[in-house]
Amino acid sequence: MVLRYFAVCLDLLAEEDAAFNSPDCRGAVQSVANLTKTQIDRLGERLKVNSQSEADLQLLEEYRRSFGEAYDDVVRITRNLNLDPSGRRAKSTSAIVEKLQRESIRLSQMQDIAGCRIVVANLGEQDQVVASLQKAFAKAAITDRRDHPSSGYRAVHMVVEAASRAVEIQVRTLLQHLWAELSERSADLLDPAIKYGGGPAEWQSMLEESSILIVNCEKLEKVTMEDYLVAFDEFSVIGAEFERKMVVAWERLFSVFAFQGKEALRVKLMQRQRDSHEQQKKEILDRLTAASIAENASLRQILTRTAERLNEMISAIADLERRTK
Amino acid sequence: MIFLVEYNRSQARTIRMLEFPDSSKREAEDARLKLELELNASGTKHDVVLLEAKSKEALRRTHRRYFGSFEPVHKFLRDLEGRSAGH
Repeated sequence: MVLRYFAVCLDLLAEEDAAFNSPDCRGAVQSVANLTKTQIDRLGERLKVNSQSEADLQLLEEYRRSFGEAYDDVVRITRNLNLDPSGRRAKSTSAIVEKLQRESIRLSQMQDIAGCRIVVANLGEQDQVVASLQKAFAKAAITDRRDHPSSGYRAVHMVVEAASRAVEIQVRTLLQHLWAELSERSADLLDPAIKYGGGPAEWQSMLEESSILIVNCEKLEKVTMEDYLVAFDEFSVIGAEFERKMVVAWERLFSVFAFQGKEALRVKLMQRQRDSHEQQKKEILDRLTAASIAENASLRQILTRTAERLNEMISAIADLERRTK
Repeated sequence: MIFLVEYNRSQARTIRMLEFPDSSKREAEDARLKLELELNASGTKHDVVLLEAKSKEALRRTHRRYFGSFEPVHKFLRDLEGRSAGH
């Protein structure tokens, strides 16, 4: 339910129609030259101290354009995997400058000049997408920020190589993405430092708590599903009573989650043979029923708290937006 | 589709969004540089971002920072609370 609930939130955001002016700012830029590593890093040093001359902006544009072919390759390969990436062919000047100032990194070392983002339903799908991307790209470095978040931010980032360039692919679940959107919006409205663990303490605490709640919420969902799958695979024969009780437990569990695999697993369950060792069945039944009841209570508690916390944040952000207007 | 966005971060507001077909990557990049040079010359500190997605709808889902406020979500939650309280 919580995923469906926040999917509705994102849909609502997506439906909002913004009307933008379209003044003609089309111009012409001449050929993209090959820049040496030294030239790139010197450019980075000048940008870092906020010296943005017209010549440097032109040079940066040349460098950014050299990622075009790599970005196109990554998008094409990703779409061939039936994924729907959105992204940027090249990082904005302001984002590049801020990263140079924030981190001890040279411009030529920056691995996210070009990058795209993929948003998936849940942790299971996230794992599958990351695995298929790993197969698709011969060289792929993975940074899994799900268990080790960066200032509350959780996602899987991959840096893949295409056309001799590095391109970043961000893979986020729906809830991880919603959190990142809230964090980014807060940073824009309140304090840019929020994205990197700074800013008002109460806001940081709200973001950190909701980040932890989200990961617990998502992990419970994953563990629950995996536990059931293991149970199904471990015991080849399931009796009628067990089956009936499992369906009840199942329904109770999935009344909380609108889980995609529900129908498929239910069919699998119903197809099991019904005669087996009675004692074994009883033990499994007792264990799983007790576990599902405990999990269900725990799930409800975490889901409620997650929803409450996210609602508070959305409300606070809407309030900030009204005051900014 | 390619989208050229001018974004005022301090106000969390998109100033303009230009659309280009996928076949006009070069034109979109030219437009980004021209806009960036204009803003730089006038001392305007706005972000200039070039984004790509299958559609505007797809871009809204992954990069909603550039598509307006959280007010609709807030309203949705308030309405939901109101309905829950009514039951």
